[in-house]
Amino acid sequence: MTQQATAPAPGEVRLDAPVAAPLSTLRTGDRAVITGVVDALPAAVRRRLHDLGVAAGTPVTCLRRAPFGSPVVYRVGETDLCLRRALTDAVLVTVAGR
Amino acid sequence: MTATCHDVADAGPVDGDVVALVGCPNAGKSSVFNHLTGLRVRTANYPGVTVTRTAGRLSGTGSTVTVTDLPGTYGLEPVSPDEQIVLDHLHGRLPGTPAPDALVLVVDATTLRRSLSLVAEALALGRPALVALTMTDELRGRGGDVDAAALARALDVPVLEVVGHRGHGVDALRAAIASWRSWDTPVVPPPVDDEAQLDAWAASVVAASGYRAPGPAGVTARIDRVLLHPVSGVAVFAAVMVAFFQTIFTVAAPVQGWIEAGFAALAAGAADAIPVPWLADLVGTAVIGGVGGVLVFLPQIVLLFALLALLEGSGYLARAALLMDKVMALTGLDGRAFVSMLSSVACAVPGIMSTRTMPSSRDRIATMLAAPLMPCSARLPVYLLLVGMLVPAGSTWGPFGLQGLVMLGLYVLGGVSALVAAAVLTRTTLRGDALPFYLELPPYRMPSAGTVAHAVGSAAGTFLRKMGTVILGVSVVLWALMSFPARPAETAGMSDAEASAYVLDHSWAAGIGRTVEPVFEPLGFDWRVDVGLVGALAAREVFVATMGQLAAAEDPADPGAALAHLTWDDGPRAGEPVLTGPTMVALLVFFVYALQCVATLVVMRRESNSWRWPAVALGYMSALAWVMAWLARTVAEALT
Repeated sequence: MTQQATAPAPGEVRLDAPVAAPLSTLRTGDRAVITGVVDALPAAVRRRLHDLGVAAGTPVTCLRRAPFGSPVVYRVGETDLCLRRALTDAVLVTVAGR
Repeated sequence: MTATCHDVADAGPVDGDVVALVGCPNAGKSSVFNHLTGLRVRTANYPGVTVTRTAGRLSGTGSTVTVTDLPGTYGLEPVSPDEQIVLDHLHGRLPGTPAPDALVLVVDATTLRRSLSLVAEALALGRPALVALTMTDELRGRGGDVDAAALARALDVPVLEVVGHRGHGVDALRAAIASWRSWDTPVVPPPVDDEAQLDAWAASVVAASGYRAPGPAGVTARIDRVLLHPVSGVAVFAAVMVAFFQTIFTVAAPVQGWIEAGFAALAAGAADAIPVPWLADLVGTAVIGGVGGVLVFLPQIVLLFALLALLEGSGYLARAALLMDKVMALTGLDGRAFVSMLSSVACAVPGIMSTRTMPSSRDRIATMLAAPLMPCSARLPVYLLLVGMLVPAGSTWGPFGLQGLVMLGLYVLGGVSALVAAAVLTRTTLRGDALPFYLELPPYRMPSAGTVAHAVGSAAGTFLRKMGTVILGVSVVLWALMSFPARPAETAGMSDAEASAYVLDHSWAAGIGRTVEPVFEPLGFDWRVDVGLVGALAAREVFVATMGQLAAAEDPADPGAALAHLTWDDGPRAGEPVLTGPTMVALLVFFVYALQCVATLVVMRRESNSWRWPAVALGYMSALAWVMAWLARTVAEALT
């Protein structure tokens, strides 16, 4: 399941359907639900993300950043994964809260 | 008998059935494998690539089943050529390697939902299969639960709970594997082609098996708050790396000293016992000395692999890779390469061997090619000799001793060069096919002694069997080059030091040295230094002894004074001292960059499964050494 990313502009509040934002926009402590990945991702990489647990409907929490800012540790389902920007820009989530 | 006497990669049809272990990394697969096979295992490369698999006879049941441990993977859909090879193996598409008869899927119960993806792909292969459910104690400890029998009904294959580090369930697993023919293949294979259907299937299996997901691993989270904290985390990491590294030097070094002394004594004893002088020298120096020269690597290999197994088994290695990732990303590698690079500062041989833990072939090769530039401990005697001759003792620069500063500079030069080399390699010849980076942080677990023992045994065994013989052969050849033709008549009346200097001066190695002299002449090396470089091919520290022999030094271990008096025989600089300041600078820089240790080449060949990469390493490092030495010399001459 893939979608185009439409992150809200700063300050903008959307009152319609929940918005899918890239995983990389989550701040430490934010919780979200994965909705899919961007179209541009190669099929093999998408499959591998799925095998790692990045599947639609899986809860994800941004746990912490590495000391130099990269990579970032996320809890995806029951697995803790370290991901770099290149991948987290391509994963779409709906923010659920802190 | 086949599995234990022959390399599995070379074996044609295997008599006895083959059961393959498939599972995610961190699922406890190697622990299960070790329990199933005991000590008699063989590690082999798949043909043509650096991917390894380990195989061993199923222990304890007297059966002829061979258990093969395939590389851990999150899914069978290949993202890299490495993974393609494993998939080909599973499908029986590899020539000479039949597909496994049955599969044991090692599944971590704490990540069951995610793991079902791999389970589905494996079951879709249509082979008889069994699920070994691991970490169930951890699952229940964290508030989760699973009903193995219900899971078995949902998956349509047998499911056994196995607690690896306590050995629970292993006997049942062994018995089940021995009777693999009784396993079922699922009547309806899971729907692997459509992601949505696969997710639905997985959800139904999870629901049917009474699975309750575990809560977060509290202890792990608390430890990570310290170990991954920007300040305390980096501090602990630095301390662990220093300790890791120091242990190798302070614990391994004395043992290495005993080995060297022991073999030297053995060699002397043998030499005394044999009347024929050249035979005595062959047996003593070449064979016994050569064997000692191979065994001297063992303490570092054993220690390094034991420490690595502890770090990996506990889960800390993933944290270390996380902390170093940003820095290593500058070189095009990822955090996992850091430990291999650091290990190479002790010795490149175990450092290169440790790259086998990296999942990407391209990263493995880039790390292997850059690792020999790391300042290894064998360079230290050479640095000490030359810095001692070059820099007056006691001279200072500000508050710092100049000799120490120069040594530090040499180390920094080597380290930075290794990282630059990796960066260049990953951006040029080894570009492309880069796996997107991802790293799982497993919960902290107690590493099992068995897994550590296995890692050490496997590394040491492979080193001795596959590499030791070649290294020994080469050192015998080098000894022959430096000892023949023996000249008993001419040396009859000379003292020992003079006699050995004379033989070396007129040996085949000297002939080689004189032949290549024009190549090194711009660097200021005369043929005798070149002979020393030939000797250094056996091991860098041999350079000191060879130079000592050439200079007819009374004490070959400290030839500084004698070397200072070496002069050019002929040519434009006849009569001038050989080891002038600029020449010594050039020689130091040459040693920083040159790939001289044959053991490194042999290990590279073994780990990369081809002669191509050692050849590339030798080529680029030799060229780099010559150019950098020439630059250093030119700068030194300009400054003096």
